[in-house]
Amino acid sequence: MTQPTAPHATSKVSLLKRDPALLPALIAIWISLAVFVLYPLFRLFLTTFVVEGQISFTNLAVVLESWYDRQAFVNSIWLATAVSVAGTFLGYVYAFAVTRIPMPLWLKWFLGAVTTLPLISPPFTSSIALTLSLGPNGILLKLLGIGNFNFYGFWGTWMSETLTYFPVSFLTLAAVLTAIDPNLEDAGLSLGASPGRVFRTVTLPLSVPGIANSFLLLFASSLADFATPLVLGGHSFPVLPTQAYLQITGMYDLRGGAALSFLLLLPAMAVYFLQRFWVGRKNYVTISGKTGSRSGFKSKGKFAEGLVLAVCFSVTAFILYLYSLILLGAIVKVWGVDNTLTMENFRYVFTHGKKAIIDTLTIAAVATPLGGLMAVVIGYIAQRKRFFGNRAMEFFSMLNYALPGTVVGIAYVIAFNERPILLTGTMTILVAAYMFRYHAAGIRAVIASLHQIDPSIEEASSSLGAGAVRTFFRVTVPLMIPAVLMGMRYLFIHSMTAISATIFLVSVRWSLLTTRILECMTELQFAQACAFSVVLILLVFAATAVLMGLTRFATRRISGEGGRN
Amino acid sequence: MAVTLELSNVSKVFQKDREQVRAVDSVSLSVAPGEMVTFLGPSGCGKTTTLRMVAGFEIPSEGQITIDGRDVTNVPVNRRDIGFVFQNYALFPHMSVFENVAYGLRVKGDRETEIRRKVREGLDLVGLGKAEHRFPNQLSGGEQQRVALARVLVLQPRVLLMDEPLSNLDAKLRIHMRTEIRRIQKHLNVTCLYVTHDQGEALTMSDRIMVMHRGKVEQVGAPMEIYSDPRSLFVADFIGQANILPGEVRAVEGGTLSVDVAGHVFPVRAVKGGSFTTGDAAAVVVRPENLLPSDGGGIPGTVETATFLGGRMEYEVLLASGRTALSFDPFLPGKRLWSEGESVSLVFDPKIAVALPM
Repeated sequence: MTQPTAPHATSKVSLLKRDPALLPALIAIWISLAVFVLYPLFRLFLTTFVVEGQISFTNLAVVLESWYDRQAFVNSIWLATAVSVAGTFLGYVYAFAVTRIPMPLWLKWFLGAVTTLPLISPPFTSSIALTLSLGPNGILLKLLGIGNFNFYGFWGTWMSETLTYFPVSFLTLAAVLTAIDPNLEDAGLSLGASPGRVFRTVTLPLSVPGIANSFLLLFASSLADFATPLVLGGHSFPVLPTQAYLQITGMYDLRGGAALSFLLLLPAMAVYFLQRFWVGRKNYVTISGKTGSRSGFKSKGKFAEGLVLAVCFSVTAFILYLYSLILLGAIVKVWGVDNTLTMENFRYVFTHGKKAIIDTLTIAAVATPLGGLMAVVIGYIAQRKRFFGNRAMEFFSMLNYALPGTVVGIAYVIAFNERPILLTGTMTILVAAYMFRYHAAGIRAVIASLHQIDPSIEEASSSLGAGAVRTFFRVTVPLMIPAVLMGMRYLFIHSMTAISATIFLVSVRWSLLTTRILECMTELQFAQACAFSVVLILLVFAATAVLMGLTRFATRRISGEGGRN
Repeated sequence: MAVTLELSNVSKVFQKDREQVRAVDSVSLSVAPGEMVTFLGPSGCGKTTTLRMVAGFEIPSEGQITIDGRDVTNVPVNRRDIGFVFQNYALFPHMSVFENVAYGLRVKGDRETEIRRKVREGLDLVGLGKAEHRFPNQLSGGEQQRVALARVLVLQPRVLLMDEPLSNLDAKLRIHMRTEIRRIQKHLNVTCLYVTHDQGEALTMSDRIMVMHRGKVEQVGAPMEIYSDPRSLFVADFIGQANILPGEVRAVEGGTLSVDVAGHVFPVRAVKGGSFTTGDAAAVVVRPENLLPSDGGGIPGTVETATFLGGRMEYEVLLASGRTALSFDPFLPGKRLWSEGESVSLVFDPKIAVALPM
């Protein structure tokens, strides 16, 4: 007879014995997660709940008693709900248009390209453009002859965030709609249902998990968004991230800021858990399963198609309009007052902003490969090695990503401002903030790609005599490279454009382009802000083009089904 | 040189939903040098797990595995000197055919000229000499299969392990490849274990077959022995087609029993090692080709379906007991045929049948 635990114990021991590189890798990961994820969060809790050595709810009570802070909490939830409803709706309309309505290929490509613009732009872009057109002296207001329209507050923030985040929903839902077996819709039609009925009874129910997922993604994004409400919220519409920021930078109240960020953390964690444990399990759509080939598109009815396309094209036109405003804003002297063309603003960017450009590029260039390496190792161990604490490792490595940037930023400020780990003012703290926050996409991509790679390919390598390290570098890594590059692209874009966490961490020694844009905005230097944005967008474009080229080069050989079927 | 392979009391216990599952239960087997043994059984019977333990992908919970007399139970797979052919071929999709085949040679550290020569030889052996610059996704299933075979053969492994290597091929190619694999295995004189759920494959290819069921070995024996002397009802039913006729032992004389089947007493050979006494229930296993239709003197029944298959007629006959029996009658022009609904009497040669305990 065997003891219940016997088989388990032997396999664990021999896993380490067979794979000598595993233990050092695990130790390195856990140490870095402990320092850059768990420790800051722990310090944040300490600051919130321990007053003079005693556990206390005083800090939280102060926040909850303040009418203004309570309002910020309600506003945050309300705004996030409104943004996720509108963004998911818009995303679904786009996804439906691209996946279900016949249109020429270039038009599809065009719609996709325009929607990626908000994804790779710095967070202020749409805020600036909306201010230029709907704010005081805005050109749209003048055009429409509306005199005093108060754009600041809920409406402006909602509009800007919806435009910024709906592409996320579009990408999620387009994947879901593409994966629905077209035979199911054909079956509905062949059973006599009208296109509208098939949509209502087949397509829509099958996309419910995708819709729920998109809703939660947008909810979390809006909840965590810091830049938009800072520019467009105004005094009448406080939300938690801006409130926490002002508490710390304006009133030097670290405890109040910590308490506010704790309030922000609660709904964010709720969303994270919902997404992980509820939506994650409710997916009907299997991406890997064999589906019938997509038969020709059937008309969905002229009226419905027209409506969907009309929404798509007007939103697309509006996005293009906003981006052309940024470009225009960057090359005129004073927006709306003196419209003479000038290169003065770009000259400003390349002289006064030169340090910010170099710093930002340096930080992104350091964080990207490091984060990519980290994603490879974490993703590989999480997916391939059955080991104690694996789930926890994956969970903690995604935690900073799930938390709002403001929370992470405040936690870092609290944790790394004093010994034993004094990092304030260094580049390390900025790189770490970006790495541990945005390698999540890379980890997910690596895990997804490993799901596609049958373990037998690695077993083949070891049965041919190769050891674990050789197998990893000769077989597994080359197959993961496209996923890693995708993750690195994401990491790079966000290292260039994110602000919510790092605004707490910049210093005289290290400045960032995004914080420079924010400074220009607060000093009402719109033209310079536009010029900075244009330069930043172009830099991101150039870098992603390089990484995309590399991805394509790496994918070319291993695309297709070779070795899998 | 071909080597021996020995499994003694090998078990594998998996933890599944807090319950222990004995996927492989005390399997013992010794394989002679150069012998080809197939593991045959329905899916989930533990045959693949057993093979993977021999390979070193899984570690036995109990028991011992020796290759050429050396205990390899805890030796990692990359030091066992085995060749493993996967069901899905597991070719490296990012490497050309040449690089796939050269992979193991490079691990060994062979010289480049040596590698070149061996890869060419290996690819010629499987008839793919011209494909070395192509990539796996440009090959058909059968070609991928042959690359996978060449990839392990160039290393001259001491033991060749194959996990349902033909199950992803179409029927015609499967039949071609099984003679091909057997030819190469004999030519190289390599000890080989081969997992399959296809009895046709097992019967045609192997020196011996190990039939497995629910983690246990049901029977090990040469293909003809397994077919003619099944040790259990499971083996009788799983290998080929079998009519299992329940009866009662009337008398025992050495190895021959007098068994009463539906009122007729037949002198039937008892299964090896089976002990019967008068009055025991027994199952008489009669292969369909031994159960012939006649006009009288046998077990009575009614023809339910009559199917013409070219070489033979197949009759499904409903017996008085309510069971259906299957009878194959070789077809010759002018022979008496029975049609559906007609009464028939089934006779068989009791010397070829075998009786098992119920």
